[in-house]
Formats: sequence, C-alpha cells, structure tokens
Amino acid sequence: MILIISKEKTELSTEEVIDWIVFFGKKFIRINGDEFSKKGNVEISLDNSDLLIKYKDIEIPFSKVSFVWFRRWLDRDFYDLYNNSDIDYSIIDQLIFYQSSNIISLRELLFKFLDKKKWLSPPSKIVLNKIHVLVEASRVGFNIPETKICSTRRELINFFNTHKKIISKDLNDPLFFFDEQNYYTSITNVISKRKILGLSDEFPPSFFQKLVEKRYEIRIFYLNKKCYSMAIFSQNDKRTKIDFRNYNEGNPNRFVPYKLPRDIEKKIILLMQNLDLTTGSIDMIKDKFGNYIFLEINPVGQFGMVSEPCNYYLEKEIAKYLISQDNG
Amino acid sequence: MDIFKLFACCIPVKGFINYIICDLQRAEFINIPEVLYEILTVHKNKRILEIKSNYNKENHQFIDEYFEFLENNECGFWCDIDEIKNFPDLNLKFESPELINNAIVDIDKNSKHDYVKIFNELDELKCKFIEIRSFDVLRICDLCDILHDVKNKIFRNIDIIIKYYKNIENDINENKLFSEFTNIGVVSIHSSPKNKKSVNSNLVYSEKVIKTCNDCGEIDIDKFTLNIDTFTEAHHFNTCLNKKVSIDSNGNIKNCPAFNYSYGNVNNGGSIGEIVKMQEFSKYWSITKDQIHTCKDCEYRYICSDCRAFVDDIFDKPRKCNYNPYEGKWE
Repeated sequence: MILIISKEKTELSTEEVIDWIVFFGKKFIRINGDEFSKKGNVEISLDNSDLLIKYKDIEIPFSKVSFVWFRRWLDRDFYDLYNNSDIDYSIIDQLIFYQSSNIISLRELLFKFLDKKKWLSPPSKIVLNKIHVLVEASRVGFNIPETKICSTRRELINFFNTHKKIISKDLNDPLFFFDEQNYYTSITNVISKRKILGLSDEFPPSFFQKLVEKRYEIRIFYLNKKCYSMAIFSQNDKRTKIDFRNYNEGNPNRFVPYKLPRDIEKKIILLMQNLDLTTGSIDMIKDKFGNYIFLEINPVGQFGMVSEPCNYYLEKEIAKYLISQDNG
Repeated sequence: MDIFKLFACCIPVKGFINYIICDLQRAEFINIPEVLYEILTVHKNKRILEIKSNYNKENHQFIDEYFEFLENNECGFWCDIDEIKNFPDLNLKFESPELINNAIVDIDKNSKHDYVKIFNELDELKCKFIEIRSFDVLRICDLCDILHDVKNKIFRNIDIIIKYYKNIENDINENKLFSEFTNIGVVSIHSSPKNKKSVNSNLVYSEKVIKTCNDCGEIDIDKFTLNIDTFTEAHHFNTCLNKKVSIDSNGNIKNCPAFNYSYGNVNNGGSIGEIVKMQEFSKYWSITKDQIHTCKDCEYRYICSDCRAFVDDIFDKPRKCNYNPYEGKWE
C-alpha cells in the first residue's frame, strides 16, 4: 500500500496526484500532519510489535505499507494558543515549544517505523545544504555563481567590489510567516552599496552571490532520471527580474515548455544521483551569454507550477511512478 | 537573434476570414492579419531574412512592424537558430482522471431535491466543480442548509447562481456564506435591479433574468474561456458537455439541464453514478468544434463556451450564437 504523508491545506498538487491514483484503481492511505496532531482524524495504536494506522475509515498495519510519498508535514500554526485569552502571554513561547516538540515526536515516530520502506523524498535526504549542493553541482561540471558566506561588513564590501552586482539569498529554506492579514516570505534581493553601508559591522552569517544577468530562468522538475523543464521569462518585468516569486498578477511572466540540451540533462541526472535524490525541483539560469548556470535544488518543490503551464501532466507521471514502486 | 519565436502559450488560430492569437496565460486574444498568420505558421521558426525573401520588398517594412507588435504585446521573443529546439510547442493533449468533472444542480420553488443523496453521489464520482442555480428566490439561510451537506466533500469549487431579493447581501454577510463554506467561488445574483460587481469580485449582480434552464446557451465574447485546460479540451471534446452531469429542477438526471430527455430521476431512486456510466450518457461528449458546421470555420472555436442544447441538429452551430465567421461580424 502507498502511504502519503502530507498536510491538509494548500496541497492541491498532492490531491491531483491522488485523483490519478484513484483513476488507476490503486489504494493508498493518507496522513496529514495537521490532522494527525490536532484534529484526531488519525489514530495510531500499538499492536504488539507492529503499529496500526487508522485514517478516517481505513486501517492498516505499518507492515503493509510498502511505499511512502512524503509531501511535507504541516504548517506550524499556533493561532489557537494566541487566541486563547485564558493563557498568560508570558508562557505562550514555552507552550509553543512544548507543542512543537510533541508534534515533532509524533513525526519521528512515523519516520522511525517507516525507516526501512521505500520512499519518494525520504525525510533524511531532503535536508539539503545549499553550499554542499553548489559544490556537488560544480563537481559534475555545472557553472555556478561566485558565492560568499560572510558575517562582517568589511568582507561583504570586498565581495561587492569584486563583482559589482550581488544578491543575497536564504542560507537555508526561505522563511514563511503569516499574521491575520498578510503573508510574508523571504526572497532573493539585490544588495546595493548603499544597503551594505547601512549594515552594522557584524551580522549573522549570510549568503551572497554574484548576480547573474539572465536571459531567462529555467525550472526543472526531476523525477526518476527524467527532466521536465520550463523557461520563465521574468527578465522583462522589473518586479520579477531578480526573483520571479515577486509575482506580478496583472501581467504574469511567460512560463513555457523547455527542452534542455542532452548534456545538461545528463549532468542533472548525475548530480541527483550523487545527492541520492529521486525527485526535486532545480533552478537554473540561462545567462546573457548563453551559458547554463546552476542555482539550487528544492527537494520538495512544487511541480504544479511546472505541470500546468507546460501541460506536462506531471501529476499523472508521479502517480504512475508511485504505483510502479508499490509492490503491495 | 534573428528568429521571432512565439511563446508556446500564444497559439495562432485561423478562422474563415479572421485570424487570432489565443494567449492562454494572460487570458486574452489578439486579432492578427492573414499574412501574419501565414508568417507564424507556414514560415514558423525561420530567420527573418528568409521570411522576407518570400514577400515583395515593399512588404518588408510591414513584416518588421508585425514582429514589433508581437514583441510589444509580449507574445514572443527573439532568439537564435540554435535555441529553437529548446522551445517545443505546447502539447495539446487533454486528459482528466475523473469520470465526471462538473455538475449543475437546478432549483426552483417546486424542487424537492434530496440534496444529501445528490452531493454524496457527486462526491463518490470525484466531481470537482459544482454550480447551484436557483431560478426562484432562495433565501441565503435555506441555501446554507443545502450547502451544509457539501461541507466535508471533495468539491474544489462551488459557484452559486441565485435570484435577487432585497437584503440578499446582508444575508450573505450575516450567514458568513464565504467564510463558512470556503469552497464557494462566485455568487452571481440574477434578476437584480442593476449590474454590479463587488470589490473582491466574488459577488456579481446582473440584470439578466434567469427563469428556467432555457435562459442559457447564449454565445458571447465575455463568456469565452482562454486557458490551457479549455483550449486543449476543445481539441478533443465538447467543452459544453464533456464530463458534465446535471440535475434539473425536477430532479431529472441529464447531461445538460436544457436537454429534453433524461436518464432517470434522482428523487425517484435514480443513481447518478450508474447513469453517467451508461454509454448513451456520454454520446455527445466527443463532438469537437472542428466537427460542427459553421463553428469549424470560426476563429473562436477553441475558446468558445459552445451550446449543444439549443441547436436544430446536434452538429449545428448554437442557435443563440450571432457571430458569423464568414463575414467576421457579430450580427
């Protein structure tokens, strides 16, 4: 049986894959992190040496799970604590810490018992280090942008003087946070001399790269040695020039199907194999001089944003892959 | 960079005398002259000099102007001959995993629907989109009672078409319609004293009177759909009928509520699931616009809503369409 670990909301792509699994007449069981930890839709019971999962009406022992598809877990959402007027605000942080560790231990329980199963995106593999990925990419022959991690203004000024145009990026995953009205995220930014001069002498270690002047961006959805690529023409629009996630709804960027040259695809396959990844989203740039520049890999990247504009039916491809890997 | 490449989402379509580019990402179409259509299709992916060599010298300036026009409209970009192979056309295949994708449930003052049964059966079918249409006044609190049965269902979007009554907006707010039922898309209010769109545009008032399911089927530029889904579907299926099921106000199970024959009645034991699996039920699903008289010569054929209910023959152009593709005019 296929086990899908996901979250309840904003996972439309996961649902579309499930539609195809149903179309092919295959069974699956789904655990949503948020339902598991908060809503009581999921039960886990100990049956001597095996665990039994019950989700809504389906109940199966872990031993019957043969393949796990990991699609995120849950948003850390603790509104209910903040909205509870009975709670003294001074202890909210401690409560959140406590609740987080409960949720983490539930997740660890799942991972531990599923450790020996086959996974698409096993949790241990998807924690990538940006620098490590860049080194590995360079090893298979990719061009990568000049990169610097530093924590002093002096070093940053040196880096700026060498390259003239630089950007900053998250060292780790982008940050997302919400309040009642708004949604915030960190994106790639151009760092001007002025911004640098406004910094204090020392700051937390941060990630900088030479700005690559792009002709277009390329987003590749990779699945089991196949590359499904898309070009993003974000260059014409000032808002999206540096980071297309700074989306312009009124005048959307062009997203079109792209076919990478065979040698670039071969490098991607090699890189993904070296990193032990079966799937992931890869960001590249085709620069003004026609070079392909490797940027980064997101191991649980969105495939819907590639599938839909290119009419690739990736949801069906993923469903087919999951079914092919499931032997029970 | 001497080749002008159209973005894959900008697709030229030929009509009898008019030509358009369907922009499937920005949901608009652009009229183009016949010669530009020829340049973009017959001379596709050729260098500009090579294209020009096919035309008289006095036309070369126009060719430059055409490309400038396309570039300004962001329909494409300049590239090299080596780059052409990196930019494949959009694949026009259309597939969907569900047997039924969308459903209409009609209601009038005499309707006695078993909503629990209807929504359970549609849920079983994995139907994603529902339209609930009420010809007579249906109070918002009564609508909420009906919708209560939809709450935990798979429906991704529910559109509501409902008759105007005084204080309807108040009732919508008081019953917290949009926050209570998060899968509600647009609420359209018909027979309203005036046309009005709310700020966030999920509430639309229209003067149009919808008394029965026969008040439907008009073909209108405002109802054209420009996206990859509809465009590709139109190449293989009928965009009006494919994967659709309707429950008319009397409970009859039909493909379209305006059809005059039904396959059973949901309130008299008819099973939607069993009926839609009957071969007969889907007999019109695969009539594409390329097979319909007149429509097959229309430049709008892949973006039009079509209508197979109000026709003299099933292969005729919709009776409520007043566009003449041979003249290129709305009559």
